[in-house]
Amino acid sequence: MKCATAQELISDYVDGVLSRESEAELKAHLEGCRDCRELARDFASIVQGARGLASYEPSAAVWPKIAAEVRAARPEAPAEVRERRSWLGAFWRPAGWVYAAAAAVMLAVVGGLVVLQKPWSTAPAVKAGSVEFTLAKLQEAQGYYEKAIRALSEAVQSREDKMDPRLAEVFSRNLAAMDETIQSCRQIIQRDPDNLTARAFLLTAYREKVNFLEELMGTGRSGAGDKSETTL
Amino acid sequence: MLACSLALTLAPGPLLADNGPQVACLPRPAVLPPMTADEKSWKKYPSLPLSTLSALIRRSKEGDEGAMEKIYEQYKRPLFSLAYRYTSDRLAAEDLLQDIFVKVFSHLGEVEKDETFVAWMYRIAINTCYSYLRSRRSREARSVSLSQIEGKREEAVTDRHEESLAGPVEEALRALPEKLRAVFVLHDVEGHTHEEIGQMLGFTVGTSKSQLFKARMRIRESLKEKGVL
Repeated sequence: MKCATAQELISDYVDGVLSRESEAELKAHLEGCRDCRELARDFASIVQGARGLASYEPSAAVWPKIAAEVRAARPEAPAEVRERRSWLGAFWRPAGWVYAAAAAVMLAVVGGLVVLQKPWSTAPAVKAGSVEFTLAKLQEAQGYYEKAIRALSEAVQSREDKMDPRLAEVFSRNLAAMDETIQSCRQIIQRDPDNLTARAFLLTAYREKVNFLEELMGTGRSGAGDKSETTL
Repeated sequence: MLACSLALTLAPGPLLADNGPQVACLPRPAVLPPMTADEKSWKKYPSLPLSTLSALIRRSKEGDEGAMEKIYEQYKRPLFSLAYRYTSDRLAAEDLLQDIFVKVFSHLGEVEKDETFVAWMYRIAINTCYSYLRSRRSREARSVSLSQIEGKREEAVTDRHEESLAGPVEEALRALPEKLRAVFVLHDVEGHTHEEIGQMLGFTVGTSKSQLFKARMRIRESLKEKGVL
């Protein structure tokens, strides 16, 4: 057997799916060929290493966003299904005003964004020459905020179990509304990456989320429930 | 080589689990032990029985959010891990995961045979990841780095610290071209068969095998350069 043929078989051999005949031929080759033997051993190590790689877990905030988006796309859903799909169940009605307020804030931000985009206007938003600089600065700031949010989200997640469940749910709703705003801004930026206004709005939304998470961490430290009135 | 021997002597446990910054050698058996039946059929994320999955798909098609959530819970980790291995950014990977599942639940009516659901969902996931990479590349090509403007080094959104903690194989796989990465992750990290990968990516079994060989060769080169192999 030539090395080229052996190499074609080594992957299957390492995976244990080679036929007996081919395996016997390959083994005979491996005994006399150091390079192919090395390759087989390296592949086995790589496979073993790959199987041991981490599995990553998304944050708990993702499902409510998916559910909200799927729900929005199915306005004709039957009433009983709509009832069943409320992910916060009984808490929905008493806290309805909270969510409505959060949604109003979100609409105001997104509405403002649409107005400030001025799709009807032909004048450039910033003078030529400074656009690239501003864009780079905004991207830099966005990177910092994303890192801060990631760190804070992890810290908040580690404290979630210790929070008052009612308070935790209200925070979840507010966070979901903020995430929806961020998502809307990001979608606009995805379509139009040079839109400085959208990027500025995204930063505002990020800043709000950082403030909110920081406040949440503060609430966790001082005792759940104490600050719920001021937070909401 | 001496450093590798020492590492093996001092740390007999699974070296890949040691995610520290030091370079550890991968264990390399002198003789390849034969794979057991369990090892051959190994899957990182065991799938649901078809009858259970079919019931969840049917209920989800009817708009039952509880059933959708169960499907999400079942597949969120493999799909998020896949997305994260393309973005190296948790927030971006969560955005992708959201996009993927919104597409899945919005187009569930297109699934005619329940046994094709998983491959169909993975195809959506992989295409969403490819599309993200394309738009990121085009964005990066258009934007001007801070270093060009005022001599500062631009802070990448990519979390280099988290990447370095992930270990040499993880780092090497993230450097693979997108298609080779998909095949390597699906086969070697998650344990899908070449037939399943063929259905997910629209490949023949032969193409899947040759792509896997190329991916393993690239990873081998990368690990050799780092002195891990």
